[in-house]
Amino acid sequence: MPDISRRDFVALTAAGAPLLLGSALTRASATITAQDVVDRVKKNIGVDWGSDDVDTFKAGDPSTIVTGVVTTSMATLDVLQKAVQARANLVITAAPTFYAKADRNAPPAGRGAAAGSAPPVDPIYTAKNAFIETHKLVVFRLTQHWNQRRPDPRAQGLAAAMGWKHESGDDALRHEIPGVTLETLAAQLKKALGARGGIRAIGDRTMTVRKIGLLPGYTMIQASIAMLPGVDAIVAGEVQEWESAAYAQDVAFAGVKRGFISIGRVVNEACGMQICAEWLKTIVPEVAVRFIPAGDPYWRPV
Amino acid sequence: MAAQGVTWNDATTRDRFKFGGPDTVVTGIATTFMGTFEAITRAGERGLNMIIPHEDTYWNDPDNTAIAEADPLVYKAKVDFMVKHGIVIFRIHDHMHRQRPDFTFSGTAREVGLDPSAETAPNSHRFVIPETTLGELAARIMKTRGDEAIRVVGDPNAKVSRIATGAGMATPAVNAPDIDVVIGGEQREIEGTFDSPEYVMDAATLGVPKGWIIIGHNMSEESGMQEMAAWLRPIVPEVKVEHVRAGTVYWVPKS
Repeated sequence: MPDISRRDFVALTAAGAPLLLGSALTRASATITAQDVVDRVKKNIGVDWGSDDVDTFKAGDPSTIVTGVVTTSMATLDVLQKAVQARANLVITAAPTFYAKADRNAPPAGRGAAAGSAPPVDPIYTAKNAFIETHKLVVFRLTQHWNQRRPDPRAQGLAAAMGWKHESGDDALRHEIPGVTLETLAAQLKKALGARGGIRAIGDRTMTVRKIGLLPGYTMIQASIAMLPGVDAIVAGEVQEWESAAYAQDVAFAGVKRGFISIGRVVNEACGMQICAEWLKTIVPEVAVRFIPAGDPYWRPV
Repeated sequence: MAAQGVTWNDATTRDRFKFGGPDTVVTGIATTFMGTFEAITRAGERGLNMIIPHEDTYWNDPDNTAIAEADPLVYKAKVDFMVKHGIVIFRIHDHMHRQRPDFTFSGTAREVGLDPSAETAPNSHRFVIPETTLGELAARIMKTRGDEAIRVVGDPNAKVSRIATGAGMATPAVNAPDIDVVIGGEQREIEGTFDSPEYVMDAATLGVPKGWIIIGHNMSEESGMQEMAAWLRPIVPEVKVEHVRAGTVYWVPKS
């Protein structure tokens, strides 16, 4: 049984929850480290765990004893603060923590400074690193493997939020709904997913949508061309403007009744990480697991 | 282009003929952001049979037609229109970005209500405006541009005055210590090389005044094609040269 340090004791009592101290002591009989949680994820996820540099620890010590787990679309400082408030110290995120695919805890050379020169001291990185260190947080990115699961968790979560049933069995990518206009569908998605300015659409606002195809995450033009002819509208995570957006624009201009809605990548990843929290509860019964979304990064002027 | 001191690079897959033969007799030239069906139709209706788009025509950057041919909804209609109107398409992208000034940047500045000649230094793409809030600046840009689907990251109440503008995917560094607001076209939401909304969100959490106004790839570069048209007129005096808009990309739900 691990010692509860004086500092932890102060932190627990300062939180004004003596009962929690009791439950923490009870749970301490079955402690689990961040590495243990990740090992269980790898063992139970149901897809081959290939070696990659994406789904790895991004911050903190893997041997840290876990007090609670938070899954999130993106480990923003705001999400990390909420995790601490919820007394969780392991954060499992779909998106990078440090602003780029490389996900390193210092800015890359040449950005915000002269080309090739050492990165300047960056107050945002400094503060985020300090917050993680102060609260002994551990951050693990889980996206490549999680999103290989079928049905696609991002599609599954989106359909659940919208109350859609699968049209055809197992992939969760195709749905048939009672007819609504494209405008209404976009508004319903915005509300159900808690989106703000990140939701954007192409096509005739008044067209009726019954068959919906989902393109979770980031997808390229080939995926849109393969899906759009067989549905009334695509609901995608993130696409490029010169690819799928231009295609949908051309289709709409030609008067072909097809719609395209982009909900945003972070909002879409949130759908999958909500499912991930439910799944983790089944394999990590020792501690509380909850989902905290990063929200829609974008807003629009009023 | 040689007159601008830009050496022509034949190796690029971008700046090439994309439709029609080089021997086609030109009746007029249309510059546009992208070879959309809308831009091609508007040009054809105006009797402009040569189209110079900045971006692609077949929904992929290398303009690989094999990808577009798989589409049964609109590809054939688009090609049929081009055949019927004797259209020829030649893309100018890479070389345009190597020109100084890069017209796409002056286009961006003008589109968001900044005077391109007011850069803090030539080709710096930086501007200093009287202090305002991110929310007010974004509202002003949306009103100026008249396009609703702009996206903003950051605290609407952040006080800002130092702006860096980008064009297309060329996003100025959001972490530059001497910049408050980045105005750009399009950027990966996560997994980019660096710039991401997340950095600006964390800055907002910390109370560091930072903002990012993402106006759209189309919106950031379309206006620069007006300058491309103006640049072409004296070197192609035989035919009329006009700028044609590629069309609005996104709308947003009303509620």
